[in-house]
Amino acid sequence: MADIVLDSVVKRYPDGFEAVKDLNLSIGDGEFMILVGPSGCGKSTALNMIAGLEDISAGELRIAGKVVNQVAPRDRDIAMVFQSYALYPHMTVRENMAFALRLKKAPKAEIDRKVQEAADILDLTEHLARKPANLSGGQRQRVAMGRAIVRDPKAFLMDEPLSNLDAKLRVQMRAQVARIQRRLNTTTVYVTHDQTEAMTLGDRVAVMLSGVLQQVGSPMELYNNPANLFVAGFIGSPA
Amino acid sequence: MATVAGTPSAAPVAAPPKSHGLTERARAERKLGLMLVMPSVVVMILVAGFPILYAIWLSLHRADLRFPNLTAWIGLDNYISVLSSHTWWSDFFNTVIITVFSVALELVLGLLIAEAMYRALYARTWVRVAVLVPYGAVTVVSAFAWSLAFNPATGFATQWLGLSTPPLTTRAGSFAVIILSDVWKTTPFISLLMLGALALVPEDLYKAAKVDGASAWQRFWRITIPLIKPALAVAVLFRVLDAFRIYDAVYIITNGSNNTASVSLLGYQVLIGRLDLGLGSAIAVLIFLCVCLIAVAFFRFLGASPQRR
Amino acid sequence: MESENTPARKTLWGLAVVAVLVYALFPVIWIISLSLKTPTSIGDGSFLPTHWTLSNYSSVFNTDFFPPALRNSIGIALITTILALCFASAAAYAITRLDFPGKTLILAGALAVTMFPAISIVGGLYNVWRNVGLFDTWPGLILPYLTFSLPLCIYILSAFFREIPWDLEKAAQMDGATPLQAFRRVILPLAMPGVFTAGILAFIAAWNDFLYANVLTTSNAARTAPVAMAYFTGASQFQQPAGAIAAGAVIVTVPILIMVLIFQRRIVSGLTAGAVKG
Repeated sequence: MADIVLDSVVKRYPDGFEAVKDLNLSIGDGEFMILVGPSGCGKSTALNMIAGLEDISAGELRIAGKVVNQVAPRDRDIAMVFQSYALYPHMTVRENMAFALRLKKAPKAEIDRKVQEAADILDLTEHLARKPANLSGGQRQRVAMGRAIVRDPKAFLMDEPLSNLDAKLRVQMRAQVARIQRRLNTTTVYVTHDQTEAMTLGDRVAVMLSGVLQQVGSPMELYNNPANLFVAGFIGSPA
Repeated sequence: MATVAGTPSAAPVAAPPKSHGLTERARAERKLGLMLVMPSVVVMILVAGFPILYAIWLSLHRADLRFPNLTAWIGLDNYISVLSSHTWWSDFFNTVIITVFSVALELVLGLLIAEAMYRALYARTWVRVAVLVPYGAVTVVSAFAWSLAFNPATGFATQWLGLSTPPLTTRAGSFAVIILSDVWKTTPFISLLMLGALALVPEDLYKAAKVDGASAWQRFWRITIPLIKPALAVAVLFRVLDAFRIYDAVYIITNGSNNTASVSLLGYQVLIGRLDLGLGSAIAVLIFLCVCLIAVAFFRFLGASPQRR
Repeated sequence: MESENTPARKTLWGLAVVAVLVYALFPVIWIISLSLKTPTSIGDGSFLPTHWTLSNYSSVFNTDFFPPALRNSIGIALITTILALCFASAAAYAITRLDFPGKTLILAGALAVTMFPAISIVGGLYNVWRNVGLFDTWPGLILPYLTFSLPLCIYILSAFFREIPWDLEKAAQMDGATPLQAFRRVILPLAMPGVFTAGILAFIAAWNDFLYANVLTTSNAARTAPVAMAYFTGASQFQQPAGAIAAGAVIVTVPILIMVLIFQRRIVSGLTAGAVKG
């Protein structure tokens, strides 16, 4: 469990384009922070920078107080849930969830216990021996979450994890995600373009546009006191 | 692009210039990438690049293994000897004949077989099998098979086809056997390429053309051919380059007799048969240049680009 | 073309399929038939054997040059394939996954190398190998074989690696894997079909070579099977070398044919992936 601080973080590409401009954001320990905005606003880039999958051009990223700009993703102790789930197709559900622990050479008993715990939370126990190709979209999404939970990381990063699900499933999974986060109390950064998700899931919501942070606050704050016309139009309907 | 306002020189975390702006991670990635390709690149330079350069060097010297003491620089003399030799041009002509006829036959047959495969709703596996058998047959074996078939002492073909003179005793007949052997072996590969290209032509275009009143022949020429042209061009390019370098079949079937030697065979005869490294290398370099010219001609005039991503 | 499948058309294309089958199998059946003919009936001008025997096969194995040639072919082709796969996997991974300068140059260079005429390369090698002691040795053939097997494998493996989603590697990174671990546990298992295909095609190419082996070998130490076959014509102990040649030909080519038929789907996908997708 840790807090995440982005201090004047910039992402500049070699051709000069700035995807993220001078981002200042503090995510408290155990907080559920939503990054929301239209496509191209820089929210996924910001998430990838926290994960270490993209380099930070300027500014500092601190996790639990330590500057981690140069730290490789594998050493940041953060788990990520991808939009495409990125499940290893040649491994069973159990092996998918156990992969990170096996890399760390954790004892088998511990691996089995943690996988079982996660499977119980996510209702995956009867699917443990199956391969991703044989699972439904919702089940795959839960396996992706299970993979993250098993690692007991300092933070969860989620990149639009529900956007590939149908509407009804999305509502169900939203509730489950919220429930899991509250139970585990892990710092979570969640990216979405869907303002309903933003409003219902997060402790705080950060609205981004064209790489610039427009406003950050609780859902009600954003709704009642939008900082500018864009936030006003983005949150609530008419959207 | 939003810039940090203020004195440029005072910005502590200012953007470094583009080329040096590689982060540690990007630099590590670059190093890893170069390290991983290095063995392959080194091997290819060593066993392909270096021998060519050495051949060029040898070709500029008198270097006969039978008289090693006489090795000396003679400039372009070897090339002049080759290019003014009747044998070279005769063999060049042979190679062109083999190339033109082989590739033409392979294209036509290959397209026909590809169409057959495309339309075959059943027996797809059998057709695929049929197509792969020539691919799996060793070139030398194919050459022997055809050669022995047309040899009246061992084969049946001369009698079957009712030929009065055995083909392998005449120049044209020998060409025919060589070309048959090459065509049999490589047509299936062409048909596979064509099949892939045919599958990419949208069915709807044919339907639209039918509605517009086009006959089967017109549909073939005005829709199929233009749309598979890129794949056709690539196939032709590779086949021409391969056919020009033909060696195995010629060696086995005639070994150059009846005036059917190809340029590669000539190179072999001079290099290894006569151990004349200088002259042989000149031939080898000339063949290399011909291949380069063919490739360049293709890229320039037909716009064939195998580097499609 | 569903609307056009009248019985007439069906029979027509059915006949075409049969024709293609005949075309493909004809010379193979011929060479098998020839290998089974008795020495006296070789010249009888018939397609199928009238009198048949297995003596050609036993005499072939009793020569002192054919069995070693077979061993050489198998060993050299195997080692070439393994080396090519190792180098090419690393290169293909780098080309498709990592960012570094010179990628297009390397790919173009690899393609160019396959177009080099063998005769242009072999002359220089003949002299150098003799001076360096690689003449008539296994490495002496394996190295030149890499000129065509390396680019082939690089192209096929690149095409297969490109199909593997990038996300999987990102997930592996997040799960704590080093690049090597990610490669071994995630990429490689998924790329196995491609590796297998590339291996088969490289093996066939190496097995098939005649020019390099003809020039760079001279004894049982490294002479390969295709070259040994050309030696049958010189052997004087056979009255009718044709039968022995045919038997040798069958032995040399039938194992490859069997391999090709077993792995036909892979080979077709490999040939089209490597060639059409460029």
